Parts: sequence; C-alpha cells; structure tokens
Amino acid sequence: MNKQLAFLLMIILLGFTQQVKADWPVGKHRWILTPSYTYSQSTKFFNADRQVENSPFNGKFSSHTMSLYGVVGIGRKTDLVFNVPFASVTSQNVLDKFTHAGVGDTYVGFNFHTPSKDLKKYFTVKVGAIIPLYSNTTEPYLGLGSKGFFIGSNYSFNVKKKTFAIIEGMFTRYIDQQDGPNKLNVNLIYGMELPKSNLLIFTLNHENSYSADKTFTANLNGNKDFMFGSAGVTYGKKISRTLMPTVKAFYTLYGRNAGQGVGIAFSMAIKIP
Amino acid sequence: MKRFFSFILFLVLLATNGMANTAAAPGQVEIGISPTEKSGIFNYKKRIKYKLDIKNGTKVDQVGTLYYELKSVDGESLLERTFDINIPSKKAINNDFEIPFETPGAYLIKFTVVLNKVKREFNFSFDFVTGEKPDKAAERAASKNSKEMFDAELDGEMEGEIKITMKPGNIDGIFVGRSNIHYDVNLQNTYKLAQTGTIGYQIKDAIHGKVVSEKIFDIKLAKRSSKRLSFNISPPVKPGIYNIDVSINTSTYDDTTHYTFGYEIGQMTSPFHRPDDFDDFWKAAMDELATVNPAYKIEEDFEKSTAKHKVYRVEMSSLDDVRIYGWLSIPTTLLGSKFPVLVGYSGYHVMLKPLYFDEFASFMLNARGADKEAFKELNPENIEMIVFNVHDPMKYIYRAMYMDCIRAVDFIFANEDMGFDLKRVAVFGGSQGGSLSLMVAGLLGSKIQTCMADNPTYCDFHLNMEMQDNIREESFIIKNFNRYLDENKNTISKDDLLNNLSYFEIQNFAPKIKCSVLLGIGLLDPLAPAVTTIGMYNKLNPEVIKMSEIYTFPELAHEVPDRHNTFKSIWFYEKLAKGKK
Repeated sequence: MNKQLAFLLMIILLGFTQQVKADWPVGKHRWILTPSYTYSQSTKFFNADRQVENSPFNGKFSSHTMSLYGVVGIGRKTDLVFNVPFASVTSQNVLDKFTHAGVGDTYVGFNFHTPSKDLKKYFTVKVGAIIPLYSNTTEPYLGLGSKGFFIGSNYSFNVKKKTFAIIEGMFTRYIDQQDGPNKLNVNLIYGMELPKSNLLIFTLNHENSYSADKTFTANLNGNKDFMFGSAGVTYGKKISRTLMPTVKAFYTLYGRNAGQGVGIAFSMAIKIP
Repeated sequence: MKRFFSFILFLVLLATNGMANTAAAPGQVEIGISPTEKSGIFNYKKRIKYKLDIKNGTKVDQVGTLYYELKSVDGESLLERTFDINIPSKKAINNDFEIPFETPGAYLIKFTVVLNKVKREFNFSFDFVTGEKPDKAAERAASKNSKEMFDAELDGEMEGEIKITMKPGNIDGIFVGRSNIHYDVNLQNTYKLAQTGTIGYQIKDAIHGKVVSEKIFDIKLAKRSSKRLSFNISPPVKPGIYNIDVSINTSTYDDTTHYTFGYEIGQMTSPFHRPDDFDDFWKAAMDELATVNPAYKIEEDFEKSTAKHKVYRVEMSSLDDVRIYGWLSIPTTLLGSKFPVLVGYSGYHVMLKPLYFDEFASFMLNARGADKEAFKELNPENIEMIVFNVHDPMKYIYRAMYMDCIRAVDFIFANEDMGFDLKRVAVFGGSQGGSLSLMVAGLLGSKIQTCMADNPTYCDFHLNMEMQDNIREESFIIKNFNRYLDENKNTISKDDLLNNLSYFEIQNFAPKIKCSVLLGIGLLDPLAPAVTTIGMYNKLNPEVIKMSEIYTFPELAHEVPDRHNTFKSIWFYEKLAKGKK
C-alpha cells in the first residue's frame, strides 16, 4: 500500500450548539492534540493495468506508525496544524526481510477558515510544508525523502442536524527531485453523531500521483507514479469533555502501481482546554 | 356599535386562535386589504366588508395598528377607527371585517397598517346602495376621478404594492469615515399598472428626530417589474445612531419604511447620570445580602435530569429572606472534574428552564419577578414590576432583584466542591437578562470571566425618556413610567423618577466591569435603543473594550439572529479557554 501523507481532519463533538463539527476552526487559544497509532499492510498490488497481483515471493509491505497530530487555534479563523509521524516500515518476502524505522514526513501548515453568514458552513484553505526528517539511504523507505508543500481547500457543512460532510481537494508538490511527484487528493467525508456521544464517519479517498519516474517497485513508499482509491470507516466515542478515542479501518478499493492494502488506526483526540 | 365590538372580538380571536402559518417570504411582512365585493358596491345584504390579509414571515412578532378613515367623495371625514394588531412570528391572519356604516352614497376609504417596520396604505372607493342594484358603471364612475382608474380597478389592476427592500453597504449597518453611506435599494412593482412618482429618504438622528439630510428622486416602474437603485448618503457630521425613513409615492401607492444605521459608533458619547452615592448604595445592598443566610437547598430533579445531564433545582434566600431558585445543569461527563459554568439571567417576567450544554455547567436563575404568579405574593396589588416601589430606590424591586442575581454567583462560589472552576464563570442573558448580566459583571468585577448580553434594556433610562417621541413603537418600559408619572403627578416628578432610576442604570455599572463583554444589539430595537446600549458599551473601561466586541443587526429589533447565538458559543470557548490567573 502506498503511504499516504495523512491530512488528518479534526473532527470533534461540541456541545454549545449541539452540533457535530468537522474541520471547523478549533478556536482561539485552544488546542487539539491527537496521538494515533496506525497499522497497514499489503500483500497484493495493483499493476500498471490496474489488475490485482500477488506480491512476488509472497511479499508483504507493512508499517506501524505513531503520529502526533495537533491543531492550535491562533485566531478565530486561523489554525496552525502539524503532524509528526514515527514509522517502522517492513518489506519482506520469502527471501528477505528489511525494516526501517524513524521519524517520517513531518508537516506543518495553516488552515484558514471562512465561515458562512450563519457560521454553520466553512470554506477552508490549507497550506503547509512537508519536511522529511530522514534520508532514503536504507530500504524500505519511510517516504519519498523529499521536501514539499501542499495547498488545498475543503467545504464543510452540516447535511442535517447531527450529520456533517466535507468535500476536500489537495495538491501536493515534492520539490527536491525534478520528477516530483505532484499529487492530487480528493476526499469525501460523511459523518453522523449517534446517540450517547458516538460518532460514525465514512471516508472515500482518491489519490493520483504524477511523475516522469514511472518505476514501480515493491518498496511502495518509493513509488512516484501511481493512483489508488480507498474507503474507510471510523467509529468514535466522546468519553469526556476533552477526550474522544476513535478507531478507523480502511481498505484500498482500486489502484494502479499501488499496493492493495488494509489497515487500522487508533487515535485519541484531546481538547485543551 | 355591535359591529364595532364584533371587529374587536375578531382581532382578539386572531391574536389567539385565528392564526395560520404564514406562507410569506422569509423575513418579509406581506399586507393586503381588498373589498369583499370586487365591484365596490355594497348594500344591506352585502355589507361593507374588506378582506385583511397579513402574513408575517419574520422572526419577530409584528405589533402595530390598523387605522381606517371613511370619507365622502367631497372629502368630509365620516368615520375613523384604530385597532391593535399582533401577529406572532411566522403566522398570518386572513379574515373579513366589516365597516359599521350604512348610509347610501359614494365614499372613499383609506386604510393604514403600521407594523414594526412596515407601513402600508390602501385607498378604495365604494358605494353603498339601497333598493335595486344600480348600474355599476354609472354609480362607480361618479365616485372615481377617472374612468380609466375605475376600469383598472375592475380588472384588478389596482391590487398590488411596491415592495421596498434596502440593504446597507456594510452588513452590520455601521459606517465609519467620510465615505458615503451606501444602501442597495430594490423596488418591486406587483401592480399590473406602470407606476410613476417619487422615492425619497430622510435621515434623522435617533434621539431627537432632527432631520440631518433628505433627498427625493423621480421613479418610473413598468408594470410587474423590479428596479434596483443605490442611495449614496453623505455621512452625518456627528457620530450616532440615525433613522432612515424611505418613502415611496406613486400614482396608486404610498408607503414609508424605516431603517437604522450607526455612524462612528465608537465615538458616540452620552452623559452619565450616576448618583454621588452610587457605589455606597450598592455596597450597602451587597453588605445587606451578606447578612442573609443563603440556606442553599440543592435537590436533583429526576424528571429534568437526562442520561447526559444531572439537573438540580437550587433554592436559596436572598434579600428580605425571599426564596429564589435556579436550574443547575451539569453534564455527567464532567462530574469529578473542574468545569466552567455559565450563569444565565432572565428577561422581564420570563421563567428560565435548565439548559443542557455538553461541555460546561449552566445555572439559570429565576430571580424574583421571573415568575409572575409568585411575584404577586410580594406585590398583592399587582403593580407593574418596572414601577413597583420605584418611588424609593431602597425599596424598588430591582434593588432586590439585582441582589438575587448576585446571590446566584454566590451559590457558584460557595459550592466549588461541585466541580465549578471559579476561574471560569461567565454570565449571560438577553433583554432584561442582558442588563442583569452586565450589572453582575460590574458589581462582582474579577469574579466574572466574560459577559454576553443581547439587547440589554435599562442602559440609560434618561435617554430612553428623552427619545420617546422619536421611537416608532413606544416601549412598555416608557409606557409604564409615563403612566406611573400620570398617576402619581402629585407625589413624584419626572426628575425624581429618573434620579431614582439612576441607581439602576446599567451604564453606571459599565466602568466597573473588568471582564470581556460580548454585546449583540438590534438596531431597530425600541426596548433597548441602540443609542443607549452603545452608549453604555462606550463607558466600559478602555482596557475592557480592547477585549470586548459589539455586533449590530440593522434588520432586527429586540432580538439577535441565530448566527449570533452560534457565535456566542465560539466566544464562550475562546474566552474561557484559559481561566483567570
């Protein structure tokens, strides 16, 4: 499975207006920290003809990632966001097994929110920089090992009471190598608040990565020209004013030069204060 | 006379049961009056009746009057009547009413409907005949200025209106600097006839009604058409609140609509009317309150508690040992931790219920007077609360009511063990509740972290009285003060009354406030006129103003829009993100 840069969405349940909110401004002087653990693996891949093949020699590509995602309200409509992942990536087959661990692609950026007149819908512009805190000297790679920047926007709104939707598009450009890549992401998210502070979220993601480097290798994090689409479902439960744990399962539905993977992620959103 | 009372009864019935849900466009009031006999010919069998059709599509109740004057074709006034109208928000009335007149002849009748923000006039002519039905054309032509108009009316072409909508260039209706004040004006002619005439505006200062500028334009509107105009108005010389009356006069339509804007409101000033012993007066009241054993009684109300909230009825003693109560609501997820608390105060004779927030506790106080029935125990003669014992500041009901509000915060500070984070206590309310929250913030200083007040009344009684002639709708506050002065003219003068009220003017508490203030005001508010609320806001300490914000809503009277309520949640989280050090 190709490693995705995790543009996490801050999804919280707030009580004052009795509404579930998604990717809205966190609020001046407030923080949300979300530590998470993600496991993903792929034993098959989508070839250049988008057909699923078994990885050669019973190959398996897997990763364990611990991340700390944070949103800091620096203004009423502006948030600082950051994500620091620590990943352990393993590429193995019947012949070999290689593992590489370290801090991965860190990113830092800003979200600029523009509310609707009734403050119930938000248009958000996101910009930021990707800083790889590693170098690709040892396989398997933790990422592309390239600095980059991203820009994108989303529109978040309540479909009806206690449900929300987000439509998001992101463009990412890696700048260290001439062949990029350039990535386009489209995310569609639909969430609903269930009784007793439970939350259910459905996610569809499509990613296209474009590069002159068309090489496809079993070292999935090193591939630059690929495409895939995945679906995920997240369940969360607010257990206190400040804490909301979530669990997410995701699966790759289709792709080209991409791993067919499955994964699970656990996270804990912590609101401060 | 019998018919007259029938009509009164009809209006009363409308005000109670006869309302239908409106299909009016959101935010608009649609008014129509038409004769039940399209021919305009009535007789003993077909009485003189008109159909009244008013749709209130706004979020506020529309209160006003229906006035009509019946004249002979020679212009002699024969009959006048005025009736009160009250149409709740999103309701409509649609009914026939009868004109109690039955002298044969040709007549003209003019109806004038005045509601909160709308004035409509309708002119008709009719004939009252006896015996055989007369020849329509011959009879009608005699009562018309021209046959053309008569024919048009027969075709229904006289039915319609010219709708005016105006939007200020700045959404909040507040302008600064020397740039022109801009309004986008949209005129919609629903008549089947083209309209020619004039449209004009008149800008008046909101306090004295002095005209500061005016202009008239010629207009031509094709039949069933719309037209957009722009008003670019030279800014007034002085900062202040200004009313803008827009009048349209065409061949068949005459209407005036009212708007309000603010100019350089940060520079607005108004005099203090602060008694020399103001601080001593309130210190004595607080000292007196301190001698009263609160005797808190905290009981969970299992009917009001939910799976997510524990709700308690909290009873306590206040001044004169009067027992007051409030609803404390604590989210179960917060139990065992420290949490912010929001103390809410009620409007005039409004009883508050528990509020269920997820992330903080709320304590909604019902001070004395909130429960109108219970208030009768203190006020057996059933005197209107706003004037109850106003002859003596020491006995005035508001002295004790203000102390009830202080006692509510006392309760929070005396029960920290319930989980209240005493560094994060906020107060809020609307109308009288807004005033009470500002007063509490003033008297308790640093105990309060933030104050959210919507349309606070009582900010400046003096200004309220001074501007009473220039407010379209007399507020019940002023009405009751005037009535009180009339009834007690031998014992209390207007100056004495205002002196007494000075102790209770919210603007006098403003300089003592130490926390941030979020103020929401409707610029058309007759109860809490913008000149009084903004005047109060400008009396906050400059350091407090730096962390405070004011939001104005030019299209609203005594209310704030939903979006402001949403914003209050943002404000609350922002201000209570960090507790007071």
